[in-house]
Amino acid sequence: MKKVEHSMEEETICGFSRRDFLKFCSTMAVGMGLPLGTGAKIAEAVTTQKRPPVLWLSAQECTGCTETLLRTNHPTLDKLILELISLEYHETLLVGAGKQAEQWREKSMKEYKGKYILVVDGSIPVKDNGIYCKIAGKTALSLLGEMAQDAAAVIAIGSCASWGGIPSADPNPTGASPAHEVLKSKGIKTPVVNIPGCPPNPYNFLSTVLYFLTFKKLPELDDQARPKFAYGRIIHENCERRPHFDAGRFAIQFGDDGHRKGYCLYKLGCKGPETFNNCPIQLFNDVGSGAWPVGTGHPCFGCSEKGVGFTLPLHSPARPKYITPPSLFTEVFPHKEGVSSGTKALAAGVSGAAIGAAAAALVSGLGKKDGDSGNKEE
Amino acid sequence: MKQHDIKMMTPTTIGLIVVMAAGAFVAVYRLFRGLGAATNLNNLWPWGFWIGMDVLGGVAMAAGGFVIAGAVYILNWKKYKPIVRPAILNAFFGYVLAATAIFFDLGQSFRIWHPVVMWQVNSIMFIVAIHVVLYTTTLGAESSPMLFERLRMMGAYRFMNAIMVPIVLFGVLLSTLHQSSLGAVYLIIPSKLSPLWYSSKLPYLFLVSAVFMGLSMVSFETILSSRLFNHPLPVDILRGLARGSLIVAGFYFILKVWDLVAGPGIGAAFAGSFTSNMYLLEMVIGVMLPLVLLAMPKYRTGINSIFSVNLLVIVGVLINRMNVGIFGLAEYASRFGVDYFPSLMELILTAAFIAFAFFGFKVSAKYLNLFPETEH
Repeated sequence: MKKVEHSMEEETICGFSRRDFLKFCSTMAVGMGLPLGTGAKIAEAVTTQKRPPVLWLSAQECTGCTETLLRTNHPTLDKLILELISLEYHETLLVGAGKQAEQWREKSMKEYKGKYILVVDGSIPVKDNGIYCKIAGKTALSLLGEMAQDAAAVIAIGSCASWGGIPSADPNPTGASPAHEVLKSKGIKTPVVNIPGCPPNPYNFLSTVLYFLTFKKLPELDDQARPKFAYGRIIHENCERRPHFDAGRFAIQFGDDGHRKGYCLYKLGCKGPETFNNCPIQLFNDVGSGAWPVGTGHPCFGCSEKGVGFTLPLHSPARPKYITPPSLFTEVFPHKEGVSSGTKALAAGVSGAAIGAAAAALVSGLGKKDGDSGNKEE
Repeated sequence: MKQHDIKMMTPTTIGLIVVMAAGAFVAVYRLFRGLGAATNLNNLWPWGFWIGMDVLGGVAMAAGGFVIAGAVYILNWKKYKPIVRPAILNAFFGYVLAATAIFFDLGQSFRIWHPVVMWQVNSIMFIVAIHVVLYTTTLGAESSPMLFERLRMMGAYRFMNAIMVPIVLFGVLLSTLHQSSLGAVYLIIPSKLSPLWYSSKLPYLFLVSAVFMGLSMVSFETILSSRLFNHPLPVDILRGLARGSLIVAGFYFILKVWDLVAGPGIGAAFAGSFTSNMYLLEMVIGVMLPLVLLAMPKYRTGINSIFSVNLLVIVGVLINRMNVGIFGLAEYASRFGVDYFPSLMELILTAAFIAFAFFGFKVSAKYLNLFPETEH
């Protein structure tokens, strides 16, 4: 028995050891909030099928979204693109160049028609027929239409492709538009998933891809076509600094006492209360707790939220969704004897009014004889 | 039917209307923006000024309705017939306002009808909810003859009068249950409420103090409306009510002291702490002073002194309700470092409720035959 187990561990799947491979699949399943057993299904999907072809189109972007994929550890990018998926076309990572690259793109599109996943990063300039972004002499506008037409699904990675991002900031000289809007205007009905963020968390992207491979459908999406497993809650809800918010402990300035003690960054303009993302639980770069903007002491600026990131001033206070900050905060050091000041003030007011009314009643009522008030009696 | 000689557009009335308008704004704001935005309530203060003052106080103030209705229709004490209508109308206003306050205090206001349909008979809140609904309806039925009379719907008027006794019986039953069940609500928080108020007899204490308050309220209101609307004072009735108050006050005093001795002990009332001072305030203004004054025939028979005692009792029982609903819970909440002071909106809405009660009573006095036997 022992011998059999040992030999199973030796076995490799897609270049992973069996143990690492199942660990990866289970992690992905848990990351999407799926039951643990789904890991086995994902493993099956990844091993039994031909590696899914992925074409990656870059438009007006900074390559941050590609960079974020390079930072993944489970799996590393080389494992991902060489053994899990079949990355057919990616301008940054292509071996070939020029005409050769374009030929390969066209060949893959023809070969995997209706089966490949198209990943778009960067916004699409639409002003002046999209002349502000060209690849191999073609505008990104026409390339997106051409490539999305035959794709099984489009994944718009990053804020630029999801809602416009930095290039769409006022005055938006190139008419930068998100992928789903361009497709809508072209009448292309290929389903689109948005993975906003600047950059987005790579595991949100990987989870979406694997979900699609395993279940042959897109994960549950919200009204902005973002997967709910990653963008279902505002950052504020899962933030490790949330107890400080509830208790009214805020950093007021960078480097002040509260800031150094790790208090809530709301008053420094943290946009966590209005930004939907899973940064506080997914974290970045696989280096452990605290590895996300708020964890390092900088307020969230809402990079993934349309109308927040690159739109609102960095340090203006957030407009909290769902919750209103209380006007009376809990004390910093509870477990005190006695009664807090606000309640005491209320009691003093009530007692004062009561004693006043009672005294007035006694003075005016008991001193007077009944005839005094001039009332008629029966 | 002639309209009574009451001037409507006085500065006081205009003031009442202004306060009611401000309250209406608060009500709309609360419905659209939620409890968190409109009030200072929080997790450790889920119930605040609206429950302590408007609901508990308002319901206690309404107790005069069932006391007088029971005396007249069940015990057949005809002497009190002239004050039945104002007493019941007052109770109706009290209950409508308490129900409105509950509506605004619920997190999901528009689910207020849920307990009527989805019975959760194991919950004390169900008892309270169903009693509010039934008793407010009953009070509406009890007050309806006045309206039918005004609208000259004599058929409906005669029908309501014919079934009045069973309605009143039902109302008295509901009311005693409801007054006491409001106290029973607080039985579920032994760890929160100070032992000065928490006791297994809380429902009985609520009922007795409500009767006490009800008698004083009716008497207070009779004197006040006589003075404001220039009716002759029914001195005999007022003295009878004062005598009733004395009996209830004595009983309530014994009950309170017994409860204190059997519970936390006499020393707890003199501990000098915040809660013990609030307890003493309630006892001195609301129980002991009225008891002493009513015990003296001179003060029990004089109309001016009865009026003063009535005021003491009303203030005292209101403090009792706020002690149970707010101040008795303060030490518990403070231990967790949580503070509570009603927001401006909470205060405005409460003021608007009180203004509405005065305004409604005035309008009813003008247009309805509220004091039938005092007209000759």
